[in-house]
Amino acid sequence: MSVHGDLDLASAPTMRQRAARVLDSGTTALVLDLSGVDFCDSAGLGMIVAVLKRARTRGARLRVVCPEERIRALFTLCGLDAVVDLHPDLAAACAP
Amino acid sequence: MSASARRRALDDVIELDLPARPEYLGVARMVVAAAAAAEPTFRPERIDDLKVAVSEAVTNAIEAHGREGVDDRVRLRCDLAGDRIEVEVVDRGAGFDPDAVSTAPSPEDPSRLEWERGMGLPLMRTLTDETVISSDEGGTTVRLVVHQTRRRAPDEPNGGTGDV
Repeated sequence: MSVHGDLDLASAPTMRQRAARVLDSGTTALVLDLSGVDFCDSAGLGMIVAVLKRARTRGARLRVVCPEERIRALFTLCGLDAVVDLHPDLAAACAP
Repeated sequence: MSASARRRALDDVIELDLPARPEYLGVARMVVAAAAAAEPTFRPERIDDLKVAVSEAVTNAIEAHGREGVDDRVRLRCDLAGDRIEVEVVDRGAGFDPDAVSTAPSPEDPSRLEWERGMGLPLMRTLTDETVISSDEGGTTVRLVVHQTRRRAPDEPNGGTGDV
């Protein structure tokens, strides 16, 4: 699932619903690709935590692609780099 | 202060009243980023830090208005003073005690995933050189100060605390 543009309070609820639909359909692995994200704040990070929680409930694996160092730094500042399965590119995320 | 210095100081202040809706967050970020970029020596990574901090403050303001059903706009005041930019976000929500806000537990804590929120205030404090929150039942003012180059190491505690 590709995410584009700004990930904030304006867009996070929609993204969260999209991801929830995918997980509820029985997917066992979801890759959230943030390569097209220009901006992310704590509402965006909160959305990812919510999706991760839902994935775990459904027994699915969540991987997040985040090539942008600036956005990756926010995960680290919030202590989420230890919780979220982060990858620098799609190829790394899709490796077995 | 000389007349010309005073004029210059006023010239560099931008004030904007934003509708308290999430779709205006992008406008708030764009305005502060453009204001900071007016000073060519401002480093792009500091402008990025400022954008996140302002987004957090305006998000909190929008949510505070939403909770109280307040129709008022959120005021954004941006003052570029040479080596630093100072942004104030003023809301008319019910106010809160910044010292009483719980923050997310450590990543090792199994309950970490119960926390989708509580990251905004720590991010503001980490990304700015100064974050000062003044809040009472009439509303909240968040003052964010960002210098051209970071004055503190990212993990150093911020001097600015609540002033309730």
